[in-house]
Amino acid sequence: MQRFLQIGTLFLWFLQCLLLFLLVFQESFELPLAGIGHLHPLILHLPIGFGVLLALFSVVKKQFEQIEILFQSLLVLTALFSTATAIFGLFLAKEGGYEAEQITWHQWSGVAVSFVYFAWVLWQKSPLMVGILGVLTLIFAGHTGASITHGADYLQFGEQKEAITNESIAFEALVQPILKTKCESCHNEQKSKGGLKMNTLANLLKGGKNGPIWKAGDLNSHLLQRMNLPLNNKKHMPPAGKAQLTADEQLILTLWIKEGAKVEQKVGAYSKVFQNLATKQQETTIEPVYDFSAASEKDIAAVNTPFCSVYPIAYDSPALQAEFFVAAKFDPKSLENLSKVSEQLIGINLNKMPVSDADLNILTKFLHLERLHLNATKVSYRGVVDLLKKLPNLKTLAIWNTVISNPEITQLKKQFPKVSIEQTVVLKNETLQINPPILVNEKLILRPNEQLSFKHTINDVVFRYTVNDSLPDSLSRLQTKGIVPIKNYTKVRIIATKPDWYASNPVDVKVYKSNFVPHKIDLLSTPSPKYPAKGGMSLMDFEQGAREVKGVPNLTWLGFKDTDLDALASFQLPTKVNGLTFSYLEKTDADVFPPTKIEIWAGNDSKNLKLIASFSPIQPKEKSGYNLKGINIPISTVPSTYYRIKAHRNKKLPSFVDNKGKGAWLKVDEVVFY
Amino acid sequence: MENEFLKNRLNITRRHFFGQAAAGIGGLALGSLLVPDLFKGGESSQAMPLGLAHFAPKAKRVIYLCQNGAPSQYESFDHKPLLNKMAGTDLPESIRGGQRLTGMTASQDKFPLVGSFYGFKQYGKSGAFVSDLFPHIGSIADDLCIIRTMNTDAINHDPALTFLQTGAQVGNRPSMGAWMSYGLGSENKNLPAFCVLLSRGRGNGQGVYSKLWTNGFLDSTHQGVVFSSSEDPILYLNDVEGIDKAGRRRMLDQLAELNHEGFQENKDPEVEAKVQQYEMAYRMQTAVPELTDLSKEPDYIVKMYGPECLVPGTYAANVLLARKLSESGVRFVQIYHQGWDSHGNLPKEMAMQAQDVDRSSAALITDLKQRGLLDETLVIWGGEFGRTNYCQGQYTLDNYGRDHHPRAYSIFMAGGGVKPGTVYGETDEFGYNVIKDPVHIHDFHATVQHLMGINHEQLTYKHLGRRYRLTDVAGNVLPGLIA
Repeated sequence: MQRFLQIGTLFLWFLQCLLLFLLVFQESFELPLAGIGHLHPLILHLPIGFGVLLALFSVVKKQFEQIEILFQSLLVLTALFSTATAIFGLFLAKEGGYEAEQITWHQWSGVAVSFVYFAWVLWQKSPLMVGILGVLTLIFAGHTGASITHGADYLQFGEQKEAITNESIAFEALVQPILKTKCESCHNEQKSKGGLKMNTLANLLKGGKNGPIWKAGDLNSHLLQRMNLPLNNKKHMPPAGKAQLTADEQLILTLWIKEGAKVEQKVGAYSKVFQNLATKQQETTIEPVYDFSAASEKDIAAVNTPFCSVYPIAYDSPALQAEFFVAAKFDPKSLENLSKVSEQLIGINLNKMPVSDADLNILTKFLHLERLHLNATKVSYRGVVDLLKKLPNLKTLAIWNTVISNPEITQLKKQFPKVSIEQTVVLKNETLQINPPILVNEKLILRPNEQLSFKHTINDVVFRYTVNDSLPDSLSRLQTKGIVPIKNYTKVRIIATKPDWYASNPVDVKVYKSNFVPHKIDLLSTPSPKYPAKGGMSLMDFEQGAREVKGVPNLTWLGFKDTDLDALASFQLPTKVNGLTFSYLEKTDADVFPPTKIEIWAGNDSKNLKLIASFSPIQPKEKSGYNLKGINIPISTVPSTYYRIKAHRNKKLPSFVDNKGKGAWLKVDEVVFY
Repeated sequence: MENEFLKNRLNITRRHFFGQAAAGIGGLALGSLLVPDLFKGGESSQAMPLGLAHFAPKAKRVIYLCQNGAPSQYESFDHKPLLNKMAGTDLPESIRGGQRLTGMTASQDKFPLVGSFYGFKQYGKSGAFVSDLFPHIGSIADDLCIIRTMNTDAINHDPALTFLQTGAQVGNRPSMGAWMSYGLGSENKNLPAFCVLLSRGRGNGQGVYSKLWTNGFLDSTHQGVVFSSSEDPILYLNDVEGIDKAGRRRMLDQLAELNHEGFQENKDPEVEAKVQQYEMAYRMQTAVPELTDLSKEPDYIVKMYGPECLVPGTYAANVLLARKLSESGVRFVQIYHQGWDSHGNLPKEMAMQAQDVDRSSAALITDLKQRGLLDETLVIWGGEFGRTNYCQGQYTLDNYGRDHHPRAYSIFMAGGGVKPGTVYGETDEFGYNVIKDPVHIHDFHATVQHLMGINHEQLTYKHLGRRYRLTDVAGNVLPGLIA
C-alpha cells in the first residue's frame, strides 16, 4: 500500500510539473495530441466526488483510525485526478470556440483545485480546513465549467412560457425555443463551436465560419443540412450523445425556413401543417403560469375527503381545484380545512351545497381564486358583493338558482367587469304539451284490494278521464291523485292537464277488476292439446294472455277447437257476486273468434246448477288482428258456492276468412268475478 | 397441465412475471436519463403519470350525445341547394370517385341525387345553416362549433361506431370514456368516471353493444357503467330490507377479505377490480339519490328540456340525467340515441328523430351555460358517419332514403374550449367530398383529448408487446377547433 502511495505521489509530481509547464507555455505550443482535451469531461466528475468524500472523511477521521490508509490513498487519487483534469482542460480550451473571460476563470479555478490537493498531499496539515477549502474551490471551478457547457443560466429552471396562438411570432414562439434547448449549449457567447453563436437573433443571422445558417426558402440551408445528416456522421447536429431534435422540431425548423424564414411573421400566416405543429408544441407550453409554490402532498391529502376532491389542475401545476359533492354529506369543516391550501386554490365548486353568506368568509382567504361555483346555494347579493371585493383574481362566478335575480347579476357585472357571470335563462313564452300520465299498475287484472292508479313526473298535474271511448275534456271526470275507481272490466282513457301546458295525449287502458276470487276453477271439457295452458287455474291466475311467438309454446291461453269451454268455479263459501268478466281473444285472421254464446250456471250443489245468465257476443264482420277483449256479464242470484261457465265456440267461420265454413278457435284468458 | 401446475406453484402468471420483470428493467431507465436518446425512445413513448391532466385542461368533462345510426348531414347541418336543383339526376362519377358502396345500394344501377326535404335557415352571428328540423339547436348556433368535414374509414354501423368510440374498427380496444377514466381518474369518488345512458328513437334503429363502452385491455374499473332506462336508473343499489348501512359495511369487508384470499391464490387482477367495484357501489349509495331526484328541477328547466325529460328512458330524460351526472363530477357521460338509420322514409323518420332530440340537446347547452359549466364541459353531438347525397330505393318527391357515407359528415361540439360560433370545414357542392379542413376520427379524438388536458401521444397503455393510444399511430390536434 505504501508502495502505491509512493508511486502515486511520484506521478503526481510529474503531472504537476507538466501542468506548470503547460500553463507557462500555453500560448506558444501547438497541439501534438489533438482530441486529448475530450478526456476533460470524461474524468472531471471524479475529483469532485473524491473531494467531497475527502472533506467528509476529514470530519470523521479521528473516530476511525482504520480509515487512515484509505484516506491517504483517496487524497493522492484526488490530487492525481484533479491535476489530470486540469491538464486535459487546457487542451480542450486550446481547441477553441470558448469565450476568453469565462475560460480564464474556469482555468485558474481548476488549476487552484489541483494545487490545493497537491499541497495537501505534501504537507498534510489541518485536514478539515483544507478539505473544506478543496470543496469550495471545486464548487467554483465546477460552476464556471457548467456555465460554459450548459449556458450561464443553467441553474434557472421553470421558465415562464406564454401560450402560442396564431398571433404569436413564429420565430419567437417556436423556432427560438428549439435552438435554445438543443443548440445553444454549444453555440453561445462563452462557447461558439464552429464560430457560430446561436444565442441571439443577431448572432444567428451572422452565422458561423460556414456562413449564414439559413437562407429563406432554401431546403439546403446549412442548418437543415447538418440536422439531416445521419446520426453517425461526425457533422450531424446536434452531435451524437447530445439531446437530439424530435421529428416535430425538425419539421418546425424545416417548414419555417421553407416558408420564408421571416423573423417577424405570425404563426397564423404559416401553412396549416405549421400551425398544427404549433398547437402540438403548445401542449407542453400552454401551461398557465402560477408564481406560488405547490402545496405539500401531505396537505393535499389532508383536505381530500370522500365528498371533497382537491387535486392539481395538471400534473406539474401548483394550482389546485376543489370540488364538493353530495349535498347531504356536506361538512363545513372540510371547507374550513381548505385554508391549508388557500394559496394554491384557483377553483372551488360548491354547487348545491348548503352554504350561505356566512360561509363565504372562508373564501376570502383564497386570494388566487379564479373560478367559483355557487349554483343552488343560499348566498345572497350582499354576500357575493362583499366576497367579490376581496377576490382580485376571480374570473368566473356561477350563481344560478340562488336568490340573486337577473337584474342583480347585471349590477354585479357592472361593478366587477372582470368577472364573468351568466344570467339565468328566461324562456320564451311558449306553451308545451305535457307528457301523458304514467300507469303505475304492473298488471291490469286488479285483485280485490288493488286500485287503478296513474302518476305523473310533473308536480301538481290534474288527470281527466272517460270510460266510454271518448276523448277526455275539461268536463270529464277529474282526478288529482291519479286513482281511477274501477267496478268491473273498463276501458279507461286518461289525460294529464296543468295550467300553462297543453293537455297531454290520452293513454288508453283496459282494466279488469276482481272482487271475489274463487277457491279453484276446474275444467269440465278438454282444451286443444296445442293450448292447454295450466288447466282451469289459468282462468284465475291474474296473468293476461300474451302474444304468440313463433316456435315458443304459449301457455297463457286456453284454446278450444273441437270442444266448447266448460269450467266450474268453486268458492269456499256461498258468495254473492255482481257479475263476471269473460276475457278472450279476437284475431280473425288466425280464425280466433269470440264464443257465440256464454252461459253461466250457479248453485250450491255442483250437480244441480241453475242457468242464471247468458250472453251472446257480437261476431266480427271483417278481418282483424290481435284484439284482447273483455265482456262484463251481470249476474243476479242468491249467494252461491259454484258458478259454471260454458262458452260455445263458433263452429262455422264466416265467408270473409280463408277457412270459411270450418270451425273457429276459442281462446280464453281469464274469468273474473266482480 | 404441467405448465399450470408450475404457475400455481410459483404463484405467478406469465403476464405478471413479465410485468414485474419490467420493473427491474426500470434501472435501465436511469441510463436513458443520463443520455436522453440512449434507447431512442422518442417523445411519444414517454409515459405520463395517470390520474391528472398532462397540462391545464380546457374541458374537465365530456357529455357525448352519440346519434347512433348516422343522422343525415343533408337534413341537418350541411346545406346543399345544388342537390335540390339536380334532384333526380345521377351522381357524377367524377364526384363519387370510386367510393365503395354498401351491400344495400351496390346493386342500384342509378344514383339519383336528392336534396333536403326540409328548408334551412341561417342562425346567429356566425350565420351557420341549420335545417328547419332543428330550430332549438339552430337558436344556439353561436355557442356551437359545427364540423362539416368529419370523415371515417368504415362504411357500416358496427365498425364505424366501434371506430368512433374506440379509435379502432376491430373492437375490444378501450372506449374514449375508458381512456379518460384511465388517464384522468374520477372527480367524484362516489360515482364512476364513465357512465352510459341508452335511449331509442322512433326511426330505423341500429344496435348498441357493450364493446362500445368497454375498458378493452385497461383495468375493468374503467368500463362504462350502463344506467338502466327504467325509473330506477341504477338497479339494486338500495340495501335490502333488514340490512342497515353498518351491516352492509361488515358484509363488504368480509367479502373483500375472501376476495383478497382468492387473489393471493390466483393473482387475477380482475379480483381486485371486483373488490373496487363493490366499494364503488357502496359509495354510490350516498351519491345516487341526489342524482335521481328530479323533484328539485324547477318547472322552467323541465320546459327547457321538454316534458319528456321526466319520462325515464327517453332521450330528453337521459340528457337531463347526463347533466346531473356531469355536474356531479362524472368525467365522461356517453349517451346513445338509436333510430337515425334512415335508408327509407327519411323525411318522416328524420323529423321524428329530430323532434326527440332537438329541444333537449339545445337545452343541455343552454343549461350548462347558465350554470357556468359550459366552459368546462365539452358537449359532442353526432353520429358514426353520414348519409349519401343520392337516394337509396325508390325516389319520389316527398319520400326517399339515404345510404351510408363515410367521406364527409357533420357533427357539432360546444363548450369545453372549442371555438364557439364556428362552422369548420367545407364540402364540395354535392356535399360528397371534403374540400377544406378535413377532420378524421383520429384527429377528432386527438383534439378531444387535447381539450381534456391529455397529450394523445402520451396517454398510452402497453398491451401485447406494444403501447396503444386512443389515436393509435395517427391523429393531429386541430387548432382551428380550439378557442
